[in-house]
Amino acid sequence: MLNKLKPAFFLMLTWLLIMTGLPYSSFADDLHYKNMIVGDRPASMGGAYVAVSDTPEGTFYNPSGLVYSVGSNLSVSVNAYHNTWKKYDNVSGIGDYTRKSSSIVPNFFGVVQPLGIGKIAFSYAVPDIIEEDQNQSFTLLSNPGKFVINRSSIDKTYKIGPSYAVKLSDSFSLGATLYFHYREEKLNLNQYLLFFSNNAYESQSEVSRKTEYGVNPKIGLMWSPLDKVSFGLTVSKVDVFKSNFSKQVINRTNITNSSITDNPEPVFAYSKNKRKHPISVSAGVAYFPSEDLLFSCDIDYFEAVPDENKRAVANISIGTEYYLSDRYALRGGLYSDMANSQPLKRGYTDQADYVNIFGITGGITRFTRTTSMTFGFNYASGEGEAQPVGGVTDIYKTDTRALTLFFSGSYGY
Amino acid sequence: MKKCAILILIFALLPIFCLAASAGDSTQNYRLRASDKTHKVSRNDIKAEIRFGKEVAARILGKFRLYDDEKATRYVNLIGKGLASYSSRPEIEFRFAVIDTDMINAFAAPGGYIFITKGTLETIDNESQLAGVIAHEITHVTEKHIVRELNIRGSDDSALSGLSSVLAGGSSETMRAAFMQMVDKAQEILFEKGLKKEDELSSDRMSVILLGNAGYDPSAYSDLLKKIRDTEKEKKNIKVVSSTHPDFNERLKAVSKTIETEGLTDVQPANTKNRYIEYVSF
Repeated sequence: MLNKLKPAFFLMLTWLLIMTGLPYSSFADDLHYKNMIVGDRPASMGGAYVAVSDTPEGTFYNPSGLVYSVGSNLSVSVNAYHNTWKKYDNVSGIGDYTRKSSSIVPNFFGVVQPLGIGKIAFSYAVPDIIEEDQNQSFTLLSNPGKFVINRSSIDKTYKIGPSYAVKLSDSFSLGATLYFHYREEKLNLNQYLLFFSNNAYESQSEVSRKTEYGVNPKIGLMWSPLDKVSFGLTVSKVDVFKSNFSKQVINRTNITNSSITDNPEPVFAYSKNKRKHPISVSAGVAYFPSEDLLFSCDIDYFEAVPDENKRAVANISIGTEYYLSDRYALRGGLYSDMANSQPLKRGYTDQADYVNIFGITGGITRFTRTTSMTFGFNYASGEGEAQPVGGVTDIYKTDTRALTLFFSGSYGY
Repeated sequence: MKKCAILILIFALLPIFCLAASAGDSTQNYRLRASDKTHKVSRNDIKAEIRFGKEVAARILGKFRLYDDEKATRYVNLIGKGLASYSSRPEIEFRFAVIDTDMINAFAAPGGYIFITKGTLETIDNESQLAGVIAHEITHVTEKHIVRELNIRGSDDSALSGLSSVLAGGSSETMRAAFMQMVDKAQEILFEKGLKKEDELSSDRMSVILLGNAGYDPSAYSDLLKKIRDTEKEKKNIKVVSSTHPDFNERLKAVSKTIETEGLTDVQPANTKNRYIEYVSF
């Protein structure tokens, strides 16, 4: 076993520390609120749907809009292919650190029916899903060796539940959704550092899992004070009532003064701390100048959550829909997805990534008498700063890109 | 605490919003998109309408007996068929029946199934007034008021439609359940809620024009509305048409305006009072 290490490599060894030292939540994209845009029509329109919401997706955006759904029964199903790419530039001078994610997921399903004086709906939504993989090998030049990292993580959020909406007057409606909220995060991380000259090595293997159960009530209002104009407002909050976290780590090394302790037995950690979520308030306006054209704009505000070190965020989205004929419609939108983390401060360590993201969406829909099919896309990108190396004050440039392709169908009867 | 206060404030303002929310388009028809509007009616749509109407008619007959007077029923059918020949829907075969209830009302199911109550026949004085009631119900069918309200339409046999329905989870069992739900909804419209005010006023206007085209006295419809209004005041124990229709004064105003604008003030129709008495007696 070596009992002496060159200072230049101390930095390398701290890498093995960072993965156990950083908060678990930083591995998922917990740093933004608009990771996937739910639904068919909203996803093509940048998510600007609070003042429209007259289709089953209204359960997610503004349940009060359900009273204006056309037809007695509707069903919408959206299947999405979601792909993200994240890069940290030239970390510690040895190379770009890259993570990729790709998943195919049913993103939304909803049904609306009349019931009593209003409409009842049931829906299932997946607002976020990340399955990241990182498999990289770096060659160390100054003291010949290699560093290998294999990382696989999953972060999925599911919402399922009923909605009900009623008309309170000719131009005012009220609705509510009560979602059951479930989130699952898993991490599988293996790192290995080897110096060729003396076969000194350090390795770390970590497996962790976190599950979160809660409720996500949403209350929505819709108001139409003018002809062809609609205003919408939705208030929403996730409350977690149960959370379980478990982690298992195995550290091995043959270096005497290593920062990790050699132990063939796994070390376990558990926690039941419940994550705090912000209250979100979304306000929107929609203008329907004709049966062929629609414009909408939303502002989504999320309050700060000091306990989670999250700042207040406001996102804006705008969308439009244009009917080429009664059989084809084109939709487009733009949106912002601002970071809820704090801007990085110089001289500090272990700060969460800070990346503001902007996106563009589009879609085309083909209608028949009772059905429709949509093909669309959502492309988002952003640049910012990050500290992927723990325990040091170095800040690196990072950029992220995400592409979602979705294919959906709806049926009215 | 601050968050709670904001939420409480939002919901305390709700009643004020409700009271203030009287402007704007009450129907919100502006939300209908180009794909929602029925531009071309297919044979399947007509079949679906007739099938739906048959089911609704069966529900009406389940609720009320037929009035056992063959002479009166034949008379009503003759008047009805004559008026229907002037209507804009030759593909619909209109059928008329009298139901045995003292209620003063008439019902039109999609597909041309029209019911007039015994109570209405007792209130009517002459054939023109009877024609007015029948014309009003015929126009509910020709203008597809219930069909549009419930979005009744035929299926599409295209491959794209089949794929969409599979993707979105529609099945025949689901469709059957949905169909029965819509029949319940139609019953609720006919007996409790009534159609939209603009649909009723539209039928009033169009029935006056239909009367004029068929050679009846258009002002007889106004006379009938006044008579029913007066009957409602006198006989409070009888369920009257106003429970499912707009205010009489508003209807009378609209009918009067239509007679004037359509140039029907100078029509000199035949006196049909004696023929009415001959066929309808109690």
